Amino acid sequence: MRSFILLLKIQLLGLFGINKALHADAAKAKRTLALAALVVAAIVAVAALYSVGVAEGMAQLGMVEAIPLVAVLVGAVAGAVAAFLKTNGVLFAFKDYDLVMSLPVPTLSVVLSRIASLYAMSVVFGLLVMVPAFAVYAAHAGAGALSVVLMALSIVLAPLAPLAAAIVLAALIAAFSSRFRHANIVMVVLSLVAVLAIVAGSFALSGQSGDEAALAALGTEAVAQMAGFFPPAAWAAEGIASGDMLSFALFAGVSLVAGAVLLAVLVRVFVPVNSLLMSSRPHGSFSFDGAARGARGLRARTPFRALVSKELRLLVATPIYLLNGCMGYVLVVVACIAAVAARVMGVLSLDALPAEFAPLVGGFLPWVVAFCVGISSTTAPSVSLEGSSRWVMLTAPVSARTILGAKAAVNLLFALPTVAIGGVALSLAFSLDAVSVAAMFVVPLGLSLFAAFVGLAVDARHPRYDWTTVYEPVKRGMPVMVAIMGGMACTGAGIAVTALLGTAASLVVAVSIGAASVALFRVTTNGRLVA
Amino acid sequence: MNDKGKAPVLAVKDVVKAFGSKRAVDGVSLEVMSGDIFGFVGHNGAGKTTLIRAIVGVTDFDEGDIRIAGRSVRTDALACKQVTAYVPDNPDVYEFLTGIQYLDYIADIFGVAADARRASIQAHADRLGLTSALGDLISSYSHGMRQKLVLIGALVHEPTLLVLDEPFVGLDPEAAFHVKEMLRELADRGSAVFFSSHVLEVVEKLCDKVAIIKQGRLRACGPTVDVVGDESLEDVFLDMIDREAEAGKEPVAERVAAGREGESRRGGRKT
Repeated sequence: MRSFILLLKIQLLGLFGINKALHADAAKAKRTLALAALVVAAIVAVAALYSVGVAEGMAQLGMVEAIPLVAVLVGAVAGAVAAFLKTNGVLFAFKDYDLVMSLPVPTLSVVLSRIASLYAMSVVFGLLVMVPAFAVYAAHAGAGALSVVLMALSIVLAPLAPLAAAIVLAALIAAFSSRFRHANIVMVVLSLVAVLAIVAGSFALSGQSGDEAALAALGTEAVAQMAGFFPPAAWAAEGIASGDMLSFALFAGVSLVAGAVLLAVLVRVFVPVNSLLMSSRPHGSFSFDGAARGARGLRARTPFRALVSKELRLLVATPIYLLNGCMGYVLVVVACIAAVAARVMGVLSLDALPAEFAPLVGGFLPWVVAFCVGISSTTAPSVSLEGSSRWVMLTAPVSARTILGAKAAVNLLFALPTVAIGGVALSLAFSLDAVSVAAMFVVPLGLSLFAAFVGLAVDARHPRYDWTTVYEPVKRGMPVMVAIMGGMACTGAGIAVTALLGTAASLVVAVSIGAASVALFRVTTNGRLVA
Repeated sequence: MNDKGKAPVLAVKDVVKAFGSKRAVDGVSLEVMSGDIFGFVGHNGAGKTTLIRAIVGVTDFDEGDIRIAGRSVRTDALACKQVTAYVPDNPDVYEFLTGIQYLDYIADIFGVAADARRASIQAHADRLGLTSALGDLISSYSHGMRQKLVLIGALVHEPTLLVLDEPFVGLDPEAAFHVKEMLRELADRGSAVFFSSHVLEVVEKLCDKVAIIKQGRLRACGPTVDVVGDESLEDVFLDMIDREAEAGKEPVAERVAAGREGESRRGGRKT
């Protein structure tokens, strides 16, 4: 037990960065803690708002009884997704595996400490989603003491079964990736398909909005599907909403058994799986013979082209980085293809809109595209991603402008074709006027420059090289937050200006955003890179 | 060895680098000439890596100047980097590249022609036994293989100054032997080699000159034969630590300058 507590303490200190903050110098610690508090407050506020909004929406549709089911299901799945993303690096293929396993500590303690930190993270995500929804439910349904106790228990129990599934899935994917060189690409394609399916599903649902009764019927159907998807959530909801203790006991039993089975299996496979993941050895088949693949690659390129090539290889080799940085572009291209296809098939017509709305499409559609482009930044984490290899960048006889320019060029390699495709396709699909056509190109271009240069400038000034998994700079890095929030703010400002002053004024906004972004890049690259 | 009239490849002059109130490097001056292999010795935290990182342009410094081939690393950083190569103590390189992709990238960055890079990479990789693994991802390499890869990359542009931080850590005996040979050959071709090491026997045998740093200040610096005299470098190093633990002792650098270095060693530790 003592060894478990010690190992868990180390895990939690590392997971939430508490120790780093405490042992930095006083001023830096204060800044870090203040920033962390701000980010946590923002996340809690957004999650609470969203959760309350959904729950209130369900209550308005007369679906109060279904709120516990949705809360338990979404809370459990959100935690499992977070745990899935962290499993590699915490449970498998973690850096201090050799050190930890050489300690006189039972494997059970090691596994338990690793699972416990993942579980703690799942519970935090569960709290964020479930507590606000339960509060709405309690207010509308007048929940009693038993119901409140069961809600609290469900927050603790709900993540267990999805966590077990997430860990098994992450282990299988990691094992698969370790054996196939191009497994990353397969993962990216599958993830893209999944996200597109979710987006298409959301549009299909929102497209059916209209009368409240139809929406309520649709919601009821969706809730029934959710219950089928994860029955333990339905059992928990039965307990909370109807006081059905048998159902809740079933939910608790299944969750606890899932956790226990996971633990038992992991104790057995922990060492073999980690050995498998860490045993990749060179194949040793390279030669300098003329026909050899490697020898053909030895061609001289300019430093800039070499840097761009390196950045592209990093992007392709890191699925989470590729997905995060390029998802917006994929959405735009897919939406454009769909719009053109709809136009060709005669499904899409501005004539169907009320006359007063038709001109608005030309004004606001560019900002919809700009939003997708503006929140897609491959550059925002790119300096931090140099990590422990940053000495290569810092000792290279190449200017900061060339190094950062190559990172920006990779972003623009995706952004510019997307802007061009979007501009041409949507202009044709919606038969826009001249000013709107110009806006279809200029507005997304302005935001793509923002996405390419602003996050990059922030990351160049405040890089964090001390990450342990790429998830940290890609998902949680401050420059990424700045790029995404900034992109959203620019889009909001642009929409407001378009609404107040018209489409022509939005061109001025977009040009200003683009010019300011380029100017920021030029100022940033006058200096040297931070070590 | 007579260095009079020759311009140093590396000239470190009164360099100070502080972290808060702690001076990690405190007024260090030294020169490395063409053809020199210069060993830099000190205990952990003495300031070796900090000075090395300042020389190669990874970190800034507060006072003084560092010149490489006559150019200041402050005002002419890119020109200095163009003629320098660096092998860090922990050879972390881009794991998503294969070995040959990394070497190709480094050659591109330093503007090495295709034929020259191929000849250099092939020669050094064959010698260090890394050729067959060059097509594999660096993520599959051991520490020693990464060390060899970084060294091959460092030599691809025939640097005027090669700076290495603990280059023998993780190398197998055969590779360590070849690396020592490669460093000597590079120096014989007119380049300068500056490296830190805790392996004092290697420093003593390989280096023409040696400097000992403690608490950010040079305690001894000069031709190896002068610093070591008729003892071993290990004796001198341990003797220095013992003596300077006693308060008020005169640093060895000042004794060397005052011609009293023999006196300092005579009372030294014998092992």
